[in-house]
Amino acid sequence: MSDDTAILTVDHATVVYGSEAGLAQAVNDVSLAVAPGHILGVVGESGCGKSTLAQAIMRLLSPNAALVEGRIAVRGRDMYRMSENELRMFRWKHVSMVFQSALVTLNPVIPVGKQFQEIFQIHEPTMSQVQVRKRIEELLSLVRIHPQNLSNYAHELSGGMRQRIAIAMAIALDPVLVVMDEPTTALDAVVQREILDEIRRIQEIKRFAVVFISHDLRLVSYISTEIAVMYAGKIVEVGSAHHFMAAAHHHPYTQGLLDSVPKLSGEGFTIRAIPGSPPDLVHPVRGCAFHPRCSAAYDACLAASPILRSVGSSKFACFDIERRENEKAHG
Amino acid sequence: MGERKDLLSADNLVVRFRQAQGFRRAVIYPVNQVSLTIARNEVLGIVGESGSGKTTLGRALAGMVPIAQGSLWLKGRNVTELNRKRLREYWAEVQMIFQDVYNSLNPVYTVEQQLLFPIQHHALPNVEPDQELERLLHLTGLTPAAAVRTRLPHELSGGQRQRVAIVRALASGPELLVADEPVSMLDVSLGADILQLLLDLRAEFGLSIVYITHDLPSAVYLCDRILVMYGGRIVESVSADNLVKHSQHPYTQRLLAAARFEGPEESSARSSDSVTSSVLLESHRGCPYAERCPIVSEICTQTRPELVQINSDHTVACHAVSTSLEERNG
Repeated sequence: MSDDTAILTVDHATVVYGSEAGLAQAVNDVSLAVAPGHILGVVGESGCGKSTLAQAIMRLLSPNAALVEGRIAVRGRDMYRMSENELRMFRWKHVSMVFQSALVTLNPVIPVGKQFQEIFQIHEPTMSQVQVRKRIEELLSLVRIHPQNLSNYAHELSGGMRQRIAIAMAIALDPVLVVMDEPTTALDAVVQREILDEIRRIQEIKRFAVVFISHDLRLVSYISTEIAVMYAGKIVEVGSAHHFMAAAHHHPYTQGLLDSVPKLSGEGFTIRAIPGSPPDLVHPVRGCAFHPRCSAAYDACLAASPILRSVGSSKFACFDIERRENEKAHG
Repeated sequence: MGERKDLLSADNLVVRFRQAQGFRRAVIYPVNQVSLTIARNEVLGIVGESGSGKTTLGRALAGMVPIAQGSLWLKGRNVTELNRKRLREYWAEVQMIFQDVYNSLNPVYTVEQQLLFPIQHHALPNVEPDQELERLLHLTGLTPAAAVRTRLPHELSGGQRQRVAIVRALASGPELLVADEPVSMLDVSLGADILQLLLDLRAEFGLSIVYITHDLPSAVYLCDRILVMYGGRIVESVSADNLVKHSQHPYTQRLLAAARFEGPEESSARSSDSVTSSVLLESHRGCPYAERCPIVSEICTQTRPELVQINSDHTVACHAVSTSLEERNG
């Protein structure tokens, strides 16, 4: 998976959390690559490891977590080999992040405009005041915020405006990669849609790569070029977003997610929850992590953990899909 | 008001809040002249964005916020201004469950302690509370019941906690359950079970349910009829089937397009992208949706549109819709 042209490469990354109950493997041997201008959507439920993966990519893991195996590189540069100082200059300039709540990014006691200026003061100290001012206005017009809002404090702006400003700040220094962790989850449906369209539009102009973390499969298939579905710290399905919703087969967990949500077009459709309970990351089950909840599970799934294999245009970590594919190939 | 088949009806309901706006105090109307009826065994959806008034309306129906004007009727009885004792009786018949279930359960009580008290309090003389608890736990899928009974809220999954809250709500034998975003904090694979459980309970107990949400697809799935709210007012009232195919209000259509990820790209250079509180002020004139509406015309900023009947199960408050209706009818 170490594609030389890729903006982001994650190679066999494993992240472990220490907790009172023991060690939890939040990200388990994950490999992926994001090419320039692509948007990789990472989908899964609470505890699947998607947010930990985002934090690991930014090297922003909490103190009780560590990348214990594997390599994460942006444009070939291993972020875990940088000094604190190098890292500080690398983040924001080359890779930046948009959080679920813009209030994480925005300082409550400093006007928005001042925070914009600080980004340039730190990272582009040679720029003149006039250049900075011009650049900020360009960024604001990109996210359709009026410059008069620069004098506002974060709490004076609506949730949608705050998230637009957080996006403008994230792309202020033209990074090659932006990691977005549930950027629209806290917003109302219409505003959510506006922000998604804003991200798509800006991304088409600026061509940065995006890792877009979400729990919402439909939303991710709308914005992404590729989709990765995570369960219990592993990627269980990855493929092009183009035909994702209409694909012939899915990993049983992905199918479970699709069957759990009501659809506006589906008359006579009955939603079905995924039986069983979410995985225990401290005491993982033997075999495939999803087998206790899977109706297609058979003896192979209890014995070993499946790895991602190509079937058609997607990749799946599922013995049942492999078996069916083999049966088809051999008549 | 108060027809036989209606369980609950509201007539021009108004809820008034005092709100600090800078250094001034303002009076806002999060629910403004809302009329509705809930039939027995009906699931009624209330849909809208933050600030639309949907949660406040739900709380007013559940007797949890004072009603400033208008009247509320339960089975033909006027229940608008109840004293303490009467309010307790009302709460036995109308129960509410919440989005943030973690904060609505007592963290130091086990499931059994949490639930046995309301069951004992409301139990009929011939009902053994312990057996009733057992029955409700099984009915809501809280199994194995023996193990669940001794757990504390933090030892349960989010879905299980919401089930405990549902059992507690059922303990008084209510006829109406007001469910405010009951699944929006749950993972989708668990939330589906709760939605299905609500439908099962409706069948089992003949319950009526008010389902409050910002998620249009789940409302269409669960509900018989849906009220779309904006700026404290109902802008469209329609059967769930017709909402998808024949909705008329520009706001409903926009919610639909957003939920479907269809239609033209959303982009607008408005200075504000959510319900501004000025539409909740008494001084506000015209249609509450006017400042965001793509087909706004002069009259919309002057006069507030009344709800107009389009057919037997469909009313809309929109000048554009009324005008085209008049033209069609000559």
